[in-house]
Amino acid sequence: MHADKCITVLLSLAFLAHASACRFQGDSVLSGAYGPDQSQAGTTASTSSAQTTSPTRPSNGGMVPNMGSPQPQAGNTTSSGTAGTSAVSNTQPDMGKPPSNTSAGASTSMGGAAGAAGGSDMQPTAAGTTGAPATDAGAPAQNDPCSLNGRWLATVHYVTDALGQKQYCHSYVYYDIEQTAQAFTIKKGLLCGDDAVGDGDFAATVDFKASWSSVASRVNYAGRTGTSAAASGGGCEVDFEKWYTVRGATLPFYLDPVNPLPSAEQPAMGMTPGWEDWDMDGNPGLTGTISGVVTGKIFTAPRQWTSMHGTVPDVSSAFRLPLMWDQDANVMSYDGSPLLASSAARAAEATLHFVQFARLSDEQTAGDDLAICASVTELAKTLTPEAAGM
Amino acid sequence: MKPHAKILPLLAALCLLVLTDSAHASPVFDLTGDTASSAGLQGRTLAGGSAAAYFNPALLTEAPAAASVGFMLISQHLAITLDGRPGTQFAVLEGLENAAHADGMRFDNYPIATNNLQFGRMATSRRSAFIARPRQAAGSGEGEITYEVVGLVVKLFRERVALGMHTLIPNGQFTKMRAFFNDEREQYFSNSLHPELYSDRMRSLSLALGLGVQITPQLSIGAGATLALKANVVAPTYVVDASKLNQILIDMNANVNVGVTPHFGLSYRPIDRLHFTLTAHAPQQVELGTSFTFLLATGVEQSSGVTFVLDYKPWQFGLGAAFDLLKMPDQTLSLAGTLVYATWSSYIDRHGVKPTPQYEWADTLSPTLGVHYRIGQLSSFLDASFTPTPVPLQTGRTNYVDNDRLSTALGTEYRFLLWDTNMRVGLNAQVHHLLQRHQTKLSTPTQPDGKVIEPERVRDEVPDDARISGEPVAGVEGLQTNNPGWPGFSSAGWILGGTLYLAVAF
Repeated sequence: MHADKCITVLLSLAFLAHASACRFQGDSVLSGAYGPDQSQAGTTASTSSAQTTSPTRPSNGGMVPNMGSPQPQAGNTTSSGTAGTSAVSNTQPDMGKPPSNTSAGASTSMGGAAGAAGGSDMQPTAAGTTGAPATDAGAPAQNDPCSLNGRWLATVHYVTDALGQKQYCHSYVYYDIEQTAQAFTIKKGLLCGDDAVGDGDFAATVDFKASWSSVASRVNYAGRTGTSAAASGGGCEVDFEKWYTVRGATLPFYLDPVNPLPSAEQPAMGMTPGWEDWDMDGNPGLTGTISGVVTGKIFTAPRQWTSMHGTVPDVSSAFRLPLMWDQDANVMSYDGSPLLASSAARAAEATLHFVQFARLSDEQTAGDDLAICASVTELAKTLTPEAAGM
Repeated sequence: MKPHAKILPLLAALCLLVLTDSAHASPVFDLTGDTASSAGLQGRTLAGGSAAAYFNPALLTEAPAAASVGFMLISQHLAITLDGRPGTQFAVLEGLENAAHADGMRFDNYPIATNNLQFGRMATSRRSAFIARPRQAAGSGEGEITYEVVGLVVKLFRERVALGMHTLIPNGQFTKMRAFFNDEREQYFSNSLHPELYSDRMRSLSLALGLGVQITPQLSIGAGATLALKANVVAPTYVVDASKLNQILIDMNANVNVGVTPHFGLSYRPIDRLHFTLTAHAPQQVELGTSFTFLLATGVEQSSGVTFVLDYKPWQFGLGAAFDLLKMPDQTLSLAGTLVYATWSSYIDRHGVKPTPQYEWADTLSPTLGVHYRIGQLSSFLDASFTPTPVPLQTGRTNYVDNDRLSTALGTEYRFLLWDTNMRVGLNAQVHHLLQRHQTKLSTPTQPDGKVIEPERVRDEVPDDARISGEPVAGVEGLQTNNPGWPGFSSAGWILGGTLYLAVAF
């Protein structure tokens, strides 16, 4: 009996021990391929198509003075420097052009540069800006019903989509346009301010007001060209060339889309371009204060391009153009949740993007740049209600 | 009858009632069989001990009145091997969180960049760090679990009625319930595959109650119940700031209901040496409803919820037969066999979802055969069973991991008298081999415009018409997926178990 018991027990133990001795291979994954290198990931056709113009630096890109230092205030006089230097600095308005569009614009700006040598860096003089169009366009078109001559408030309405939530963005721009024949040139152009208002249950609002005055003094549309002519089917066909703007970073270096925008670790230092603290709050770039169901601050140095083209009934007092645009929001850092750094894309619906123009009277644009911008931002909701709204 | 013998049945019944509040059905019973007697894997067919309360309550009438305790060890080693991803073109690229269809509609879901999943992402001033979730780095098929085995059989009415209770109580974690997705959605969580019918199901509290009645000396019937929990948890939250989810305010409203899942048994002995049994077990499950309501400061209120179904077991019907080849006063040699038909085609997974019709589970028929030998006070047995997997080859979107199982159990029991009390001590061991199985995913056919034709195939997580700002996106043609089971996987494993028990008769 005892023998039977022992045999059975030993048999059981041996059985268990044998099984336990087996080598078990745990979970494993066979070698394979994952995503491409991080630097390649996320490359989109959108980005490349936005830069289909030849990806070369502007002809003057390497000659820009004051690179890395704050740009002079509009209307300020820089030191004379050399002729070449002042000429280049006066081409700064042209820096908003895409690199391949330099032919016509270059002559205009260079003409302006010549006229502005030793004068204003940011605003080509009337002599400078009018010189070039006159050479390739002919007689002025004072009585042309499609002439844009004059001062304009342009409210840019564009919409971004971030994680499924739409943001309605507005830029308030002042244009002083001088047109000769069909071609026109922006004689003076100020970015007076911008904001973003969220729509939807989870939307947030971004406020950049603290940087408005600084932006107005540094971002310039002067030298931007375009055409406005009678359309074959009636009305006027208006075209504004593609134009880059950059905020919160060294100008004109970053106007060239070939140059990657700076990160938070790349402040402008001496001749080295980088981000600049335009609103003087001690943080990189521009500070956007976010409120709503998401709160916090983002520190950004964005680059944006716009172009406008369309046919309008008339341009006597107001008109509206479809807007083509794209941007690199370049949120360098944030104060709050990482959610604040979520990127936004241009909303796909084309009708959401447009610019509404309203002609301004002399009384409405009196004073210096700051005064003009104050009027522009104040009048935007009245004169361009669609673009200033949602 | 001794005085205390009259009180014991009442105490036992009271004990059963008290215990019912925290019990629910367990898949462990069906895996291990009767581990506290010499019935082994033939608990539906042969009289053993208290485990008859679950397997076949009719056999409680043939079990000796006793209280038993035991210690069981289960060691599971279930390995899942994922095939390597064949190329980078199948990876989800970064920067697609704002992409949409060509018509501007958002995707149903947005995958995480494959590189980030596998390797993680360092924090920068612009982005927070992303902790890597490498494929199959969080599998759940390994581990040792110990249980306390507690059983009780009491006899009433001149032993014509028997009450039984049998329970397995896991040590350490009292119980474990884990839900996971069986497709590409698991990338957001463990990014791993998990054994569908083991893993957390091995750590569930198991309690069965049974009542057997001897109708005639040849015929007994029985009924029993396992208890199923049905819990519902509602967590209303107030979101002060959507970017600071760590600061939300949370309340809680929970309730737990206990349901009863019945099972039935019949035992018929037409002749002294031949014995037939029939059993039926109703479907068992634990339901755990979870829902959240989110209230924002703007007054917006939204809610979401899901009902998890855990430890699901389908209808099971058993047919058993045992024949005593040798039947003498001092020794018995019996052959026993059991067939269990399980309606796994009704399976509901942990997220309360039935497998798609194209990959519907199959009903199974599981045979068990064994030899049981008793000589004097010593009993021993050897059982073997084959349990086919109900899960079809996972060549599509889903990754239900399961294998055919070959089980053997070997045990011995010794009866002795101590302090005028009959006692039994037993030891059994079991080995379950999950047979190697490999599956390769089928390709995902698409229409010329990139739309998927067969949605049950591996999902293309980045539609070919993806646009960002209305512009086409590079690298989205064809299949991009983070389905952890793609392009294929294999699984195999072993489950070892052993139990030492002591039963005291009264």
